[in-house]
Amino acid sequence: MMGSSHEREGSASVRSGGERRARRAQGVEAIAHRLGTEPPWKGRIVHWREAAARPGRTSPWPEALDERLVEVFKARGIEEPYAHQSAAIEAALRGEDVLVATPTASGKTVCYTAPVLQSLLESDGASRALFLYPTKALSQDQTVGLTGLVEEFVSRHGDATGARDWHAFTYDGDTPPSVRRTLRDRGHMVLTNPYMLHQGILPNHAKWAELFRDLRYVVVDEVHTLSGVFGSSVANVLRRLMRIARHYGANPRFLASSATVADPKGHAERLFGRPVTVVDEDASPAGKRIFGVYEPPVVNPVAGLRANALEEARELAREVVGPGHQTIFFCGRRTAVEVLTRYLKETAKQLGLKPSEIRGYRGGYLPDMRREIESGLKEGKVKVVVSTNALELGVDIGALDVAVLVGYPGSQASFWQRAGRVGRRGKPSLVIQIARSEPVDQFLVHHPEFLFEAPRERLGVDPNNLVLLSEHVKCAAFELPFRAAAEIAEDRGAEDRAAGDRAAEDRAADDGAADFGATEDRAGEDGAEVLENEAEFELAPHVPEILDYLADESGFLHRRGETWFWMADAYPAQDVSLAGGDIDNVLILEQGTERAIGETDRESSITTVHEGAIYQVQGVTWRVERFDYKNRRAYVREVESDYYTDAQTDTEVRVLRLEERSRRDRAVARVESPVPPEGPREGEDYSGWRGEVHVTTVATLYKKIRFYTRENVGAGDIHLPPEELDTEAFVMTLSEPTADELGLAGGNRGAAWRALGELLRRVAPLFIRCQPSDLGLSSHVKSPHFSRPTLFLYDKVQGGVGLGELLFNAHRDLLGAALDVVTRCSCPAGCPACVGPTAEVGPLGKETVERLLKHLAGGPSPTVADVGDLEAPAEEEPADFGPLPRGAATEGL
Amino acid sequence: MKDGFRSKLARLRREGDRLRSDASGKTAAVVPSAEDPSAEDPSAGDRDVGALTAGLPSAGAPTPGAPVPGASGAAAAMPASLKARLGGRTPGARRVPGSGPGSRGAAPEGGADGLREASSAPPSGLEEVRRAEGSFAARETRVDVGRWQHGDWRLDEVDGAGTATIARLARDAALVQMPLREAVYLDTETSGLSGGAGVYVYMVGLGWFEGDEFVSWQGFLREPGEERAMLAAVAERLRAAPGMVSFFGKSFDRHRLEDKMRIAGVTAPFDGLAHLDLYHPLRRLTQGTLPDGRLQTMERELLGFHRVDDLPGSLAPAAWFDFLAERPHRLEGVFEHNHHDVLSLAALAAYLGRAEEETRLDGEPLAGAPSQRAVALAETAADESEELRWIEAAFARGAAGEPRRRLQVRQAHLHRRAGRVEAARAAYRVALEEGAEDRHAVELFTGGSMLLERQVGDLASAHRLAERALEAGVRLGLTARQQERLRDRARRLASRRAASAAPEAAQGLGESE
Repeated sequence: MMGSSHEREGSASVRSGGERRARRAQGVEAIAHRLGTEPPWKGRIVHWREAAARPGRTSPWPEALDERLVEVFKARGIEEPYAHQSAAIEAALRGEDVLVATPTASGKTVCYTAPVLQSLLESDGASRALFLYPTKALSQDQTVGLTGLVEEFVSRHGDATGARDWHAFTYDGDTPPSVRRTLRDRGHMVLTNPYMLHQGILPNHAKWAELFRDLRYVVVDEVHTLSGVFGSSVANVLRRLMRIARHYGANPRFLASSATVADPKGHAERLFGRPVTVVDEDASPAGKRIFGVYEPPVVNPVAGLRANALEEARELAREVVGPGHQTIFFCGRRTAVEVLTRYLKETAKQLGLKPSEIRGYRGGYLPDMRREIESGLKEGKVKVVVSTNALELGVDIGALDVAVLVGYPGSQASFWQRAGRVGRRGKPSLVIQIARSEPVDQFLVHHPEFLFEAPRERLGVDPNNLVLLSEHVKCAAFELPFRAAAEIAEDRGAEDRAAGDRAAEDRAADDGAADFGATEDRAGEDGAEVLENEAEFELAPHVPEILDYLADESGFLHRRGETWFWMADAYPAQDVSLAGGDIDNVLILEQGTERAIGETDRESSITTVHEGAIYQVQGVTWRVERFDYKNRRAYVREVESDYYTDAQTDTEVRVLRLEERSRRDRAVARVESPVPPEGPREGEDYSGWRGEVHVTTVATLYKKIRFYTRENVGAGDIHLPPEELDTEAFVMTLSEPTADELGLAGGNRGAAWRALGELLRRVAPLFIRCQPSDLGLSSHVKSPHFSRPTLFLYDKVQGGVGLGELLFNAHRDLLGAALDVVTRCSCPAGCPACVGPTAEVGPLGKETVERLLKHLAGGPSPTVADVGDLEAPAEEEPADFGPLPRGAATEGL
Repeated sequence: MKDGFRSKLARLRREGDRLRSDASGKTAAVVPSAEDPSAEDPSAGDRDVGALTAGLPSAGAPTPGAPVPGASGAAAAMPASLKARLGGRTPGARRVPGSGPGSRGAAPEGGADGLREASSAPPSGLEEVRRAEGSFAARETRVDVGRWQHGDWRLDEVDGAGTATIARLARDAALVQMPLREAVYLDTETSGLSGGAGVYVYMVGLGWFEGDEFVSWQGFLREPGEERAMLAAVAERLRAAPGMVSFFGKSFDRHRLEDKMRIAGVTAPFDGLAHLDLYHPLRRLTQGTLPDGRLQTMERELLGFHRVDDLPGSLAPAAWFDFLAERPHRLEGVFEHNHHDVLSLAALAAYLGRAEEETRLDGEPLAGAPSQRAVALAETAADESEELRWIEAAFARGAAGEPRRRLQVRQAHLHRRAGRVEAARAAYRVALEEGAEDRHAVELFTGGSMLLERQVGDLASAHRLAERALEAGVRLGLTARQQERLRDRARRLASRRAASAAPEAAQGLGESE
């Protein structure tokens, strides 16, 4: 596969002594060559792919861009922009809403800094811009970048332009109150995150009047992170933002960036509620890129057990790590990051490195430590970093050389973001994807084309999700009264969409002039623009009904004619979460000194910082002495531990309401069964359902697992209150007769049924944008609610994102993919790559699951059916927990 | 569809809005059945007066940030049966079942609690005000400044107030230029205390002097859409005045109004407008001598003004919500409460302006603790000799506790800095004999050490005191940096002492070891 002419610089004999010197000489291509030709790697890398180096394509700076700015960018090394940068800037300067959807490190920042600075120039420093970043780290980063750019400009043209007064500020939870006022009144560029916008800025918009009055641009970075419930919430926050901007007479444009995703235009338009110009042809140069898919060897052929992916990563480090280049490892879980970091630090010497050159990186580290690692990477001082998805986003760490992905990250977008971390200009780079035993990873081993050729996943975002919409309408009503929406609703009901839009336009124009008259003087001048803004909150379906509900039933609003006023002594944004976490974090403190060691989100706290847990930071182990669950604080003490801990949870699912059902009759579904069919073929075969469920999760016990050997050296109980979740689920039920015919019986039937559910959970990311860990699974051979074999796959976010619905609609595809995994697997009777090891699913497990899948994925599709008499929830009965999800507790390890 | 939609929305109720779910349960209990016999039994409510008033949240100075709707506290303390009876006493009292937040309606109705009756009638005496921005309503009450007794005070006593005294106690030089006769007195009632764009300032009470009269003008929103017009009228009135007077207004009223004006596109008048916030100077004058710093406490203790049947300010949001929803409401009580607040502002300003004289115009002594007044005057004195005079006065009047300790440190410090060695030694000695354990002791030991080192030349004693300062600092847990500074000083003195061959002076400060 490799260029054969390449010289082998680091042969095994040289490497035995003078590691550091020998390794320094290695190049990325040499590494790839060795992996492709030398045992044992040769046989393990089952698929190679190469993307040829590509020259960059530049275009002249857009003529509309001020020459003084061109000069500044040139001084910063951009002689001529790439074609996509030029196109994006041009579109922005034409006044369009723009999305740049190109890979990491393609120079997206320039695409929005140029128009923003131009607007400052054109307005004599009056205009304002709001930047939204998904993380605090990113906004800090960009504040530094913007300030640098402004300084450069000031040094050239400062006196003539007043640019000395242009300020870029970060506004987040860490901003001291003393600075906030200055920032509100004088911040030309305010960099913040959706949470602050939602709870801090919008409900107090009067204090930000200076910003809103002249708001020209809203920059939204990394919009591919705005999907699912979080994205849908943010879309509503943006609706609120636009409403308020319009109130102050501004009509800002969106400038957005994204990773490469499927249908970026559709995603951005759903998010912003407006037509968006998309620039997605990456014209930046790229060095040669080499991809390898790595399959760990089978270590126990009988049990079908493959080597642990993390162990393989440690092995592989021998080849892909060295002092002459930089390597990044991506792991799925924080524990995995810490374990691998520890392993690598311990073998630093053999790798030709100092332990300090090897760092872990993940969410939960304190900001200072993160900054230090980031700059260490940028300056080349850190040679190896082991990270979670925390480094997937655009935090500036410069380009690295080799990426090792320990496990498939769950989506193509993530895969490409991670892969995009490597590749210096004009130099080759290497990406190795290590497959775990998980079905998805195994699927990719057999279908690598999925990574490179399959259409990218669509980002699910539904701003009109009723629950989210209602909550944000409530927040919006607090911020400004709602006007005259009922008329639109009536129009829309009666006429076609065009008519509705006309009414909306009238209303929009009316709004501009009538809203307290604050915008009188501007309405004329911006009137035409206001008209094309379709993103009116009021146009979302059901808004008038929601308003009426909030007025009549909840009593939060007061309706006066066609206007709804907030009328309660409460602060609604406080009770509405954006579902991205960030609020309820648990602080981890050193016992005695109260020094902060790190933090963790609430959901994972019950399994990571329970009393007795080993908490790891950069290879140092701390034991949790006390977990103050109520006050969200965990107290830890540094210990020398030769084990880490892994907690288990129990989950109970209760049906609250069923909303949709598709059902297949036994009459149309022929069973290929070893058991001869009995009796008439009538009644139900299987059903898919969609509905609301209540999930209770309680952490039960933890295991102590020794480093390296991974043997279990003890266990302890966890005593914490349960976490409660109201959410949506996809449910699959199998009728008793069909179950019997398919041989879902006997001692191991529960395990086989569960294995099927597990397979579905694991292949779900192939069809909907989520991670397996976004979905919860509960299986029952006889559910108390349905009295038959039942699988629940539920959304793990409070309230649900709608994954239940997506699963409901795509469940036949999931069944097909799961069947594919099982039939292609060469193991005789079950292995972790398909249904689980024989010891777990029983000797007939694989056969049973395969038969079930063949039956369910084959034959005609089920058809819409009444939710039927099963709707009334059955009496509460003791839950059937079933065995724990296989691998759920050790996923990524 | 409709049903499904509603039931979906009902999910919202589950999402942990405690206010809402609590209230819906309680409000339902308040709905009187038309046949409820107890509804016509007037004595039923009277018997429970004590129980009810005990549960009421007390009135108070606004405390921004308190998110609890006014009435829910009261509601929580009431048994449901009582609420049902009280609800029944007002003919025509009807509530929408399940209607909203606790602030709505859970407030007790009827006069049984000794408060003003709830009424379905619009507030009396409202005149419509028409402006370019729209219309709103206002009530104007005129008070004869020579006759009206506000407790023990008359409003024309503002003429005897010294603006320099006010400026000094409020630590705001601009107030010297603000004659109390020309200022505007301001107090607002809002739909909530949480802050944010959704809070309405539904009543603005403004007061000003006009010849022999004090005009109490109360702008009122008959509906929320009238906001802009009222805000414009308020801004206009304030802009025409040389300054404004409020109670806690720098922290609350001003911001509520400013925010709403910005939203409504009305130019806010506050920048550059002199603003006397009575809370801080009055607090300074009364610290430690009154149970709390609320307006009602100040007016009672300092002016002798006792309110009768006052509606607690915390019930103001509910009163307006009830009015808007056309339920029986208690706005009349809010108007009166607000009116009294504004009158108290003028009288308290007059009081404040007499603090240096310590008498009223007629020579009567001012109410309030004279010792704390001396403390306040000492701590706001313009020069050191005046400061010392007031410090001595405070001691003579028996100032005690924390203020006394503060003044002791200050007195010793002033003497030392002025080179009055003996006076300084005495001051340090007295202060340290009175207490060598509190945080002031660190300063006293250090100051004494400096005195002995530089002005007495007693290195041994200076060193000993520096050591004691350090000990106290460590014991009190000062920051590492502060401790380091104390340690440095002790170290330096130790080496100086060792270096100087001179025999140690025999006498230190004279304090016992």
